[in-house]
Amino acid sequence: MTKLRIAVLVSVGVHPVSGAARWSRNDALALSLAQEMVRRAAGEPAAGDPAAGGPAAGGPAAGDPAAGAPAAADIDVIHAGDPAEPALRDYLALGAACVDAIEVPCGRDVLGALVDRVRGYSVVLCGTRAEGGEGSGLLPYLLAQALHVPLLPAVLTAQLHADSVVTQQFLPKGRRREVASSLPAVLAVHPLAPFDARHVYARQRAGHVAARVARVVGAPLPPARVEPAVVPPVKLAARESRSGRTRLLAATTMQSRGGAVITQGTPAEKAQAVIAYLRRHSLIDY
Amino acid sequence: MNAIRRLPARRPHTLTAAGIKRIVLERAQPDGMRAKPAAANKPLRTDGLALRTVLAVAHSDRGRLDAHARQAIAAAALLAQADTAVHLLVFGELDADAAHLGVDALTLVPSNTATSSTTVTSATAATSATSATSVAPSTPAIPATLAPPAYAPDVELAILLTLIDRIRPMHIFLPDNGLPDGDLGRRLAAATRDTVATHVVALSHEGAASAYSGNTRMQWRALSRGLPRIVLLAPDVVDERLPFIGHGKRAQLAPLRASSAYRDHGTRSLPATEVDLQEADLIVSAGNGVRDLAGFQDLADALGAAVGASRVAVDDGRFPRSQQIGATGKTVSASAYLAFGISGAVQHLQGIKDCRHVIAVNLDASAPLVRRADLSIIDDTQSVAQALLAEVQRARAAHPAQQVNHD
Repeated sequence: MTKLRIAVLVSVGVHPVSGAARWSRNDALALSLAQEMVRRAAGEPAAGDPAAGGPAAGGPAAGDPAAGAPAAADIDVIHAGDPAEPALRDYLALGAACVDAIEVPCGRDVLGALVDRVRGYSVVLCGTRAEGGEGSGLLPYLLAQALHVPLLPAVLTAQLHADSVVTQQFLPKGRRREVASSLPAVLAVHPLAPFDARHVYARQRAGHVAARVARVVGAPLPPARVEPAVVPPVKLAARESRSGRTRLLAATTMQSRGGAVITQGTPAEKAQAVIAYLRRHSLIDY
Repeated sequence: MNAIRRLPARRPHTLTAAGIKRIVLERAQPDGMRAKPAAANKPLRTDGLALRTVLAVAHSDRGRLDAHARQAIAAAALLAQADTAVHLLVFGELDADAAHLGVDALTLVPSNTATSSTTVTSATAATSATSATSVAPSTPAIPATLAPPAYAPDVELAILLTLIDRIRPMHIFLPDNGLPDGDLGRRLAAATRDTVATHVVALSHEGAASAYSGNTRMQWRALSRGLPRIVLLAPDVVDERLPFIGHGKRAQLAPLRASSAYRDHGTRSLPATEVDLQEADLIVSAGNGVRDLAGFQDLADALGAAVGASRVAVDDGRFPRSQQIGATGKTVSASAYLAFGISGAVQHLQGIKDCRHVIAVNLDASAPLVRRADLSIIDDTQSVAQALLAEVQRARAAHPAQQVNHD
């Protein structure tokens, strides 16, 4: 029965309409998932039980701690950037007791400071990509590479065990995959993960943002060359070498794809042909 | 060199009945010739010795590459110089001809589960002719599993790094599509610390532009200095139609036996009713020809498919507006789309343009959807739907779906 340490990395987001600085939804999902993991590990019923029928339905039963589950866990919310940013207090309202803000000057890489800070944590949670700036989604990968730990992307739900974490991964087309890895691990939370945190003003007043000085000075980032996107991007295409008549024909007539057309036979035989087609292209598994 | 194209003054022409001269722009071809795709006579992109290489990486789904992956390959082929070879690394099987993708060298890495689609090829080759054919007998073969291969990105990364070490590509192109390829590309960028551009919305020889969100409502783009080594492409950035073909040679890669740090506990699919129509993998869709709604719903339930409808069926009040597929409804990207009694207006065909396999059941053999469909059944929709329901129930009883566990 060890006490696990969970780090949640938060960033400053951008309001989708006004562009004002605020909490980042992806990182708030990570915070919400961390609270859920701790609740599950402690054996309490999950807070969002009715919401469990959402995109992440069917996870392991709540209130049923697996054998060897850790007794309790601490959640530390960590930010690298400007500690004076007022948007960080939003995470206090969403349930963080304290936000550790490591001071990294603008234009410097936050990776070194974060690697130094989260070393020793069992689980590091973060959102898939930042809302402001480039939003490349590379930070969890660079972090996992620097820490030499496995990275689990697109996490919807996660369950902690004594020395491993089992996550449910989002796949397109309505599929969900369960992937487990040993601890410590970095988890990047998918944007469609269930979100049940509430904004509580009293918690925002009660909590505090602790400013820290970075022990590692990050490398200066190359200045981003940014231009306003006034014209739509040009699609990369091969130079058109067809004659005008060919292009007109291609645009006005629809060519047959050369599919099979079955006209003869009873309906049962035609149904068998459909089943055979679906099987041949592995579209059904029976 | 004079750039103005000179046209011969005495071009071939015809005289109309009124005596007007009409220039023949292109030699007339018989109808059967025109219907064929002109892929066979495309020139080779390059025939010289390859001094350099660009690499495209993709994951195939049941032997097929999706449009996003093909766009990444097309980007590599379009940006390659005459002395540059295009190398393609595919995780999984590949049914398509690599040469027509513009690929000069192809490395296939079979997935580590037994998702073999080679077992069901014997008796079903008879339905490939374009004319009306008789019904092929159904095969009692054991179908391949639908489950994706086990999640082992570290093994895939090791394979990719081995290949990169061997062929030393100048650029590596991947589709930025979330889990299989976007994940692998970011792992590669983290492992090699090469220059990387993600969510690329425009690219050229000079560089790549990525989406960038500033603190205002205006949209911005971040520009890279020169084309980065690793390019993760957003969808629909590249036109995948190529005017040339590649060599399409197979390049072998020594198998790498590595164990993954990740344990895959298997994949499950949500019931079709819980999945958004745009996300559904199997859709049965009803048009004006469907009157037996209860039987149609039974068929959808038996197949485990989501239900769509054409505009006419929705306007009649037989289906809710949320199930409409087409220009005014939803655009779907299912792997299999079964259309019952849909003639296929242009607006509806727009909505299903991303569907991989289209099966049409229609009374009218000249409907536009029949030309789009990969398999068309010309019969009464109700009787075929009933027969198909019985067939699906029989097949399900004979082959209970296997649960795949990668442990």
